[in-house]
Amino acid sequence: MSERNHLDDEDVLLAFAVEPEHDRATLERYLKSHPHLADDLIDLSLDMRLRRAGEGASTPVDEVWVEESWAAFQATMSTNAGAAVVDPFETASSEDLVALRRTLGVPSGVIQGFSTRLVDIATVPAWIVDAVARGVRTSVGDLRAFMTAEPRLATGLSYKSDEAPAAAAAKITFEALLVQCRVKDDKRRELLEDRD
Amino acid sequence: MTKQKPDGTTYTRRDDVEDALERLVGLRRSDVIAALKIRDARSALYVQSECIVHLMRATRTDNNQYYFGELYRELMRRITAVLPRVEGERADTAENVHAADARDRVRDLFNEKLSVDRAEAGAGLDYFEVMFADAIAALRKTAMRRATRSAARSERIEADDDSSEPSLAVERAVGSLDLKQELLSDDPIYRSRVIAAIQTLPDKQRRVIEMTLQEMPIDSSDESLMTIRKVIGVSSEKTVRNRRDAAYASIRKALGIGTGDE
Repeated sequence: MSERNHLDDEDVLLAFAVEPEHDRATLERYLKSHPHLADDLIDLSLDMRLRRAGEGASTPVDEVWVEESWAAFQATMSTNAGAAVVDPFETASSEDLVALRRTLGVPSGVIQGFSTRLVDIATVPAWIVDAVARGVRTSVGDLRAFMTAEPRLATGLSYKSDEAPAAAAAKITFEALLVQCRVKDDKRRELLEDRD
Repeated sequence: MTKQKPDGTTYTRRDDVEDALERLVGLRRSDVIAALKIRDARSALYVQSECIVHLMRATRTDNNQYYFGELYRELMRRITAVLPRVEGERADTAENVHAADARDRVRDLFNEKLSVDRAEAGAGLDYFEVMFADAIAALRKTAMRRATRSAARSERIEADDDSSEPSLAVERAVGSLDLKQELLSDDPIYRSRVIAAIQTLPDKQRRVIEMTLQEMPIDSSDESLMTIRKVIGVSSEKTVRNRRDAAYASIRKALGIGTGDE
């Protein structure tokens, strides 16, 4: 069966699903026009009947699966973007970074949370993403694309430690980053506010 | 919405969805996110799944990944809620592995449609703004069609239903079990048992049950009439009766209802 037919069949099933009535007349109409989908239409008709009968039953929430799904979707989107990801912090001057830090009124650790990709960009309010993107002279899309990759080591810093420095194993939320950088409570609330 | 029905008219949202959207688009996004936490579908502030789909699509041109992410996560919870149960008393059974696999496949199909919609406005998600739960049921059907080859599905061994004669007890039992009524029981636990009993029937029997519930005639001398016998493509109406009776017998057994012969 060709891909085209697959799509047509999918469309038929979706159209049947969203019919306002699922009575005998509707089922028969679809069975007559799409006899090759008879089994699927009947199965779907029963599935919908049973789902309605089960409505109201509590379903355990599977947050692990929800997060997996979100990650899978983000991966799909970044693959679709396709273009090479550039590092906007590499081209930003130290003056740019200082100006950005002052605009937001945050310690440099917060900016570093972005340049090391430590912060999960999905947890950052849009207006902050916007400000950071402008501050390092890139687009919001490019900044997001850069931020989706794994955390990395800070560049241009010297380490006074016997142990080799290692990049963070997992991303943290924007709020956690602010806490880590000791941003005061009221400032933190201001930065976390959704301004849309 | 731009998706057209076969008659050329465009799909529309339900009135309750339109009303809710009118209210939701006036809210701050933080308030929308707060409203997503409401689990009681009867609450006036509950955000219908159809609305979530609409709100997600409406963010196509902005870059608020946080807001979009929260909507997306909630929609995934809704998908879990409308699909046949994955966890529960039959956890770790073959049926459950099958159900978990189906959930991933449905999610993947939905993700595909969503990413197409994010790139360019289209009609692919319109169905999900009309009737989300049923559109997901259709997507599950499509997912399972595609998975038929890869799914390690244990085919049930079915009795040769063309030749065996049902016992008198089974014949009698059919008449006394009104499945439509059973599915309307006030007891949600009992209802879920009835649902499970129907879901575990072999495909062939389950389909006869659905057509029986739709009150489709088993057979007819009127060639223009659609009958169960014709739909399932068998020559004898006896086959239809046998499948129906075997299904009822299994359901009664699963529900612990006697055969009616005692």
